[in-house]
Amino acid sequence: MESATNRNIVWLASYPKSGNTWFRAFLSALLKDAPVDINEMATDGIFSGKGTIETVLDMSADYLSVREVEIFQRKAYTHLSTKSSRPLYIKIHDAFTLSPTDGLPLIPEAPVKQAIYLVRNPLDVTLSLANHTGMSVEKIIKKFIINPEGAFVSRRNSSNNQLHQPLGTWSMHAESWLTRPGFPVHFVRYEDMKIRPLETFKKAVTALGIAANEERIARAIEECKFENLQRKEEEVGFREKQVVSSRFFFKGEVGRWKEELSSGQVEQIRQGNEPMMRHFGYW
Amino acid sequence: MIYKYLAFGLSVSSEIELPALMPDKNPPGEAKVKIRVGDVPVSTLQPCREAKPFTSFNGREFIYSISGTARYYVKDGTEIIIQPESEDWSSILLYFYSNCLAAVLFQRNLIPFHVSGVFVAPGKVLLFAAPSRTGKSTTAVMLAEKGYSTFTDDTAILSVENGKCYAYASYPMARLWQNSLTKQSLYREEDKRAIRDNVMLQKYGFHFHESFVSGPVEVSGIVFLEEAGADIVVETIKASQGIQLLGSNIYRNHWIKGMGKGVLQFKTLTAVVNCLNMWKAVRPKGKPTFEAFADAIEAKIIRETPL
Repeated sequence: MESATNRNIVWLASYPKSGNTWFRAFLSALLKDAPVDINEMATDGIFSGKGTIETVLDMSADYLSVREVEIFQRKAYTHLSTKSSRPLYIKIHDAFTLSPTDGLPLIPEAPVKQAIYLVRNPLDVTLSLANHTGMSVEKIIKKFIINPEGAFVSRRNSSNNQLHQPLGTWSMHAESWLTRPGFPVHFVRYEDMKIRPLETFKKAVTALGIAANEERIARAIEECKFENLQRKEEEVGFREKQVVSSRFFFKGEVGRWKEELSSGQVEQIRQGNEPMMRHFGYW
Repeated sequence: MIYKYLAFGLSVSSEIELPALMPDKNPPGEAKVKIRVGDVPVSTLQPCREAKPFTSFNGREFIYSISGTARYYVKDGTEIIIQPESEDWSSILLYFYSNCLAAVLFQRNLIPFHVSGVFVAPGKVLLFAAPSRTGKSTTAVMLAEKGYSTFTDDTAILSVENGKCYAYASYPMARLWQNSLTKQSLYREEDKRAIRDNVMLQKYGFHFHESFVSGPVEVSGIVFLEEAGADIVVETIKASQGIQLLGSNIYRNHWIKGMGKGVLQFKTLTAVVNCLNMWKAVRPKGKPTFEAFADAIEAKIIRETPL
C-alpha cells in the first residue's frame, strides 16, 4: 500500500481540450503574480509523462510492463509528494480508473490533497480536439468522444514520451472523476471560466486554499485571456502543441458546435454522452 | 569462472556473464572494476546523502534495490555486488547496465553523457546528445546507413587531454524501437535480442561487438538534437548555450548533488565545451523525417566542417 506523510499533489484533471492549459496558465500567473511564460508554467508537469518514473526511480519507462507502470507511478508520485514542501499542481488527462490487477485506483490517491476537474461541452471539445490532433471530426467522435475504449497512447510500451492514458467516452471520463476519487474534487466548467471568469476562478482559488485577493485573481485572469495566450503562442510557439501546422490556442469559443457540427454529429455525441451532459448542463 | 570485459574504457572482471559488454581478451593486470554476486548491505555504511524509493547513495557508496528483481551495491568505483531476488537475469542486467555502471563512473570521477555517436573519419567521432526518445539512436543508425559506422548508442564518457576531447564508448549494444527497425538495414530482424525475457517490449537490443572500439577516440563535435517546429534546422551554437545543453545531457544528472560531484561537473563541462565544435539540429516533432535529418547533418556538419 502507498503511504505518504504529505498530501501535496493537486490533480488538474480534465478530458483533453477542456481548458486545462488555460487553467494552468491562470494558476501560473496567480502563483507568480507575474506575466506567464506558456512554455515555463509554474505547474508541475503531466501525470502521463515518463519523466517522473524515470527521475524518481532511476529507470527507463521504456522497458516496463503495464503492471510495473501501475505500481511504479504510485511509488514515484508518493515520493514526490512526501519530499515536496509545497503543493504540486499536476496536469492529468487520464480517466479515474481502477487497476484490473489489484483493483486500486491507477491514479495514486494516498499523496493527493485534492483535484480540480475542468469540464467543457463535448460538442465543442470535439471540434477543438479535431484541430489539436489534425484528425477529422468524424474520426474524433468515433475514436474518442463516444468510444468506451478511447485513450491517448497505446497501452504497450512505445517511443512516445507519454504513457497510456485511458479516457473512455467523454461522459465516462467526467463520471469517473465525479464518483470515484477518495479526495475532494472541485468542478469548473470551461463555459463559466469564459462567461463569468472572476466568480469562477475565485471559487477555484478558494477551493485550492490559495491566499490571493480579488485584484490579484483579476490580474491573473487578464494575463491569461485567450487572446493573450494565443498571441504568446504566435510570438514564441508552444511546446505542448501536437500538430505543427495548427495553433494550440485555436478559437477557444463557446458554442462553436452550433455552426460547425452537423445535426447527425450532434446526435451521435449526445447519444453517447447523455448522463454527464445532463449533469453538467450541456443537454 | 571469471569473465573479463571492457566498459567505458575500464577493465571489468565479473563472476557473471555480461553479454552486452566487450570481452577483454588481453587484460593487462587486475581489473579496475570487480563484479560479484553476494549480499548487499541493508543501507549505505556511511551516511546516505540521497534516498529515493529504489536508490540511496553518498559519494562512495550506491545502493539500488528493486524488489523481486535484485539489489545492487556499488562501492568506491571498484566493486559491484549483485544480490539477485529472481531468476530473471535479463531484468537484473538491465538495471545493472543502466545504474551500476553509471554509479561506478561517478565514483571514479568520470561523467557519463547521454550521447550516441558515429565515426566521421578514421579515429574521429561526431556525438549526438539528447534526452531519451529524441532520436539519438535512430539518427546514428541513419548515418551508419550512409557509411558512418556506430561508435556508441546511448552513453559515453568524455575527457579532455592536451586541449582535445576524447570519448570512451559505453559498450557494444544498441537499443532500437521496432518502428525504427523497418527504416534501416544495418541491424537485421533475426539479430534482435529481447531486452527483458518476461516482458513483451517494442524495443530490442543489437550487438555490434565486431566494430566496437573500446579505447579513447577523438571527438570532432557534438550535435544537440531537438524536436520542435516545422522544419529541419542545423545551426552552430555558442559555448554559453553549449554548456547548458551539455549539462542537461549528463546521464543521471540528478545524482550529481548527492554524489558530491558539482565541481567535477563544472570542470568537465567547461573543458569539453572549450575544445569542441557544437551544433543544434532540430527536426519536426512526431514526423518521419529521420532520413532527411541524417542528410542535413551530413551536408551541413560532416561535409562542411573540417573534422
